[in-house]
Amino acid sequence: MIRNYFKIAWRNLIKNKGFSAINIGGLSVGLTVSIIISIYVFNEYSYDNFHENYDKLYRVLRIGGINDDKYLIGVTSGPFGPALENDFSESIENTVRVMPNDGLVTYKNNSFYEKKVYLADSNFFEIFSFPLKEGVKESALEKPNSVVLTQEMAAKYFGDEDPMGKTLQLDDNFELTVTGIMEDLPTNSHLDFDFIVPIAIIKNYEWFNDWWNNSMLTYALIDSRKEAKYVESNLTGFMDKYFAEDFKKNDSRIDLTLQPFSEVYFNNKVRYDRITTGDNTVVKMFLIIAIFILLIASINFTNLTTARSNRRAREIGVRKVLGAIRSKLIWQFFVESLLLTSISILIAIVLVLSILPIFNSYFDLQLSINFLMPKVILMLVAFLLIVTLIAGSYPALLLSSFRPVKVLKSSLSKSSSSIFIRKGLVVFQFSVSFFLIAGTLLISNQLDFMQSKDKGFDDESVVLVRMNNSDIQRNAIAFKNRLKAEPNIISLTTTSGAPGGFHDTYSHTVEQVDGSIRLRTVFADVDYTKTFGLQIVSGRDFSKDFGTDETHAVLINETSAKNLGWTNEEAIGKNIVNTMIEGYGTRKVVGVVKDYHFSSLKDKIDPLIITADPFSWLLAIKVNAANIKQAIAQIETQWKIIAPNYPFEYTFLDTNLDKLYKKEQQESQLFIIFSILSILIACLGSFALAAYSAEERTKEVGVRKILGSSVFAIFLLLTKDFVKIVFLAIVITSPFAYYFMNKWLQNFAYQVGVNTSIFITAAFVTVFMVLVTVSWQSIKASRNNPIDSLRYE
Amino acid sequence: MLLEIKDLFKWVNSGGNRIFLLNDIELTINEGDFISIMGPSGSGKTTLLNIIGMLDDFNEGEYNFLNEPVHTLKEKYRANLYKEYIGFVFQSYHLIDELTVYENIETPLLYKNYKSSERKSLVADMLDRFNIVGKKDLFPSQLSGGQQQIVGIARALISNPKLILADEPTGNLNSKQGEEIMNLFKQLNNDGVTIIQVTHSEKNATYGSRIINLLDGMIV
Ligand SMILES: Nc1ncnc2c1ncn2[C@@H]1O[C@H](COP(=O)(O)OP(=O)(O)OP(=O)(O)O)[C@@H](O)[C@H]1O
Ligand SMILES: [Mg+2]
Repeated sequence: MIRNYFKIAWRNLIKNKGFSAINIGGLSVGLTVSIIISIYVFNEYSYDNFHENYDKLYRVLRIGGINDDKYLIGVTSGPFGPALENDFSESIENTVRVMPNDGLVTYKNNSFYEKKVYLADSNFFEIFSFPLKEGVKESALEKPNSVVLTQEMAAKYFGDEDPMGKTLQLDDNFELTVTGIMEDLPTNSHLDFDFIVPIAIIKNYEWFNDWWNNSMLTYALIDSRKEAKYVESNLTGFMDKYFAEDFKKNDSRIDLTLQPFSEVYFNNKVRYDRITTGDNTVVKMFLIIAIFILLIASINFTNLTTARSNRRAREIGVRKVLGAIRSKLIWQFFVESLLLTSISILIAIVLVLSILPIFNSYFDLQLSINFLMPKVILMLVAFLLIVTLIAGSYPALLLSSFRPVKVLKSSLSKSSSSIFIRKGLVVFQFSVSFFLIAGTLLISNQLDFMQSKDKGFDDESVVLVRMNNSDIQRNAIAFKNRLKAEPNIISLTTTSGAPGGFHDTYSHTVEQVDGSIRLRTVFADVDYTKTFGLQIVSGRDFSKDFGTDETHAVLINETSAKNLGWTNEEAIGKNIVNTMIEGYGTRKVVGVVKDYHFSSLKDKIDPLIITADPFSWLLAIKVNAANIKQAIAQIETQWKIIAPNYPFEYTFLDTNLDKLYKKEQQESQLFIIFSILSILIACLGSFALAAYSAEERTKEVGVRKILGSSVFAIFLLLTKDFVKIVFLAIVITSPFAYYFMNKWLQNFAYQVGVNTSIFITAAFVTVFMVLVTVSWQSIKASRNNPIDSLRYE
Repeated sequence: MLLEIKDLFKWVNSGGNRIFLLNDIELTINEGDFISIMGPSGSGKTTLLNIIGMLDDFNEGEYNFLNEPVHTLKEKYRANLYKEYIGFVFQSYHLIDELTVYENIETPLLYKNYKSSERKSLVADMLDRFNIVGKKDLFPSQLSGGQQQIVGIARALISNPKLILADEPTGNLNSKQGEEIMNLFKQLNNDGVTIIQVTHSEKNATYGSRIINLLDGMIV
């Protein structure tokens, strides 16, 4: 029987080539999108789950705040791990500290500045499951001067040599012996590193044992949820024990919390940690898009099948007369959709295999799929069954319900319920398309808005150079003076963080203000405002002329002044103390800078204090825009004179700032692709439906023309229905779109706003697309010679 | 007695008026009968045949088939009944275009869950009996009308029915082809199959043993 079903299904498929092509085309594109998105979603949700201790691991987070806003901080300091282990020895089995870092790595004559050098406790490889190809996980990090590196790095430095036992130099102070080679990291790890060096090498630095020096990630291994809860409930006491004095001094407290390992990847709101994070909302959004695109393609099948149902009606009647019971007919139709879906899946697999590499390189992802893995096969079977059911159910139920007495008569009256459902489904298709188009427009509007909005500072032709080695640091002043003498360099400043970069938060006490206030900070040279083109709204800029600015002056931004209850003028001359930095002394506000966006436009502007303090290692150099190349050559020349052994590296401020929106940019590109695909698939369906309806109405059109109707009137007659449907879709969808758009915009502190032009443009695009597809058929039908169409009757 | 119809009415309501399609039909058919139903166009012949074939409902009256009261049976049971005992032959053949001659004949067996080997031998017998072995792999569109009707009859006979219902089986055929079909029916009837045919042709009606004349839904 089943074989017979397949035979008939196959013959039907071959016989109706156009119908099959449209269905298979739509479904295979829909399935391709869905499979790719599924791979992406699987990958996102599989983050870190390769660790054997996945369920037992927690990251220690601090809860900090800018005044009343609480937020989580990913980094902790050296003493936390051992103290936790000690105070909760019953519950915490183990802790491991990981410090993401960078450094200059040298082997013989080869030096590279490596961005992913992690320092970690010696139990790193026991707690985390990063398999070693060579070396012993228990002892690889036992000796302080050892290093474990990835296979890729081993090849980079040692080529064909055996790396084990060789010596690498890190910066200029550490000689490290290679004690292990790791397999390359899985792509789904939130820890992303090339080298692991025992943290013991820095144990003797004073800062390492300072509770406030937060520069590392601390993880705790706890056997059960219950124990973790117990630890968590006692963390307030733990903090009081070690911080009581500081809390009093700063008049603010910090708390600790445990973050289950499974939440690390998706919590991208945690600050200051340099780990890979993902956005669960985006993942869910793409999942929904995949479902919708698949639905649109399935609807094409449903609609085309039911639209053609009277061609099958006679066959169904005959089969029933020959003894077919309904369930057998339902099976037969399901087999037909199963066959079609199977072919589409095979095509989709080929498409996925050929598109995935392009997709990966374009979006900087490392997705892969092995179609032989049981999990993947299961997924494909699931897709097959789901699509078959969704696409095939209604046609199977409708067609199998035909009564032989009715359908065996020559003319079949059209069932109005099936037409109604068909129209409803088309409304749904265009609703989704319209929604996606409108969403695409909104996202790109918001991106344009953020990137073109006046940030309040000048990011053009600013070169950033990290003074990342002791040679350059020792001679920083000489280096700066040499650069200042260069003709193409307009201004330069050291800074703790460039706009868009790192701005730490500290507690401050302020004269005449009760309690303490948390402020974002910049520590920079006196040329800071000049280099970034910041505006002073009251008071004065830093100046060398006063001699004491580097020890006694600060600038604040307008938000700080406002938060402290001052006007910009009142702020001048007020005393401020950073209570967390020893020897900060009491400083005076000498000026107020106009608010500028020192962090992403996704965030609102925080209160900021700029302290004149020349000991930071990031150098921002404003160069002559007309001669950027020469300017960089000049900087490099000076670098080579002062630090000849170190590679010179630089970035541009504006490109760094663009990277802040890279994720949104990628999302918007994906959105564009998906909305184009969705509307194409929907239009494909309408194209076929229009063809059927034109065909069904051939006789009517012929009669109308003989009665004197114009070509245009006929065109309207045939096109009207589709246009109505699209307008209905737009009207129904607009409120939802409006709601979700506003919701999405909540992610941004500065929003472009949902304006009507988005809806009008989206509506125009949707209607236009539909008109183009449908007109093709309508024009053809309306220009037919009526005699031709009537002759066959 | 094969079937018995008593006081049967079928009507449709149109604009408040009740239009009778069949009006007080009284009919008994015995096994081995060869009945011809005649009457002008629109007199209700097809309607009556469909009711006898259990494809259509009626509004009032009784219909007993092999002593089963059809009018009280559930749809599914009724389907089983006609599947078992009745074969249909149509004016426009109603072969399934996507199936070959062989497969068309085989289809009723599929729906009656015959085993593959049984199907093979039954279809082979049937092809033999009607001399169409050579045509078994052709599709309906590749056959002449008469050949198609022969396949239609073969298909109706494959499950060995007691009753053949034929609605104008020769209506689309030329006189020579029609004669061939009628001879076939005669022969089947001699073999014991009960046949009810609808026909417009006096000549064809003479093949049967009894003629029922319909006029405006009534037997006259
Ligand atoms: N569902 C229905 N609703 C209304 N009238 C119907 C319906 N079905 C059949 N009729 C009417 O019933 C009458 C009998 O139809 P039927 O098909 O039985 O005629 P017939 O004798 O087979 O005619 P012909 O020789 O043309 O095939 C016709 O007038 C037809 O219009
Ligand atoms: Mg008739």
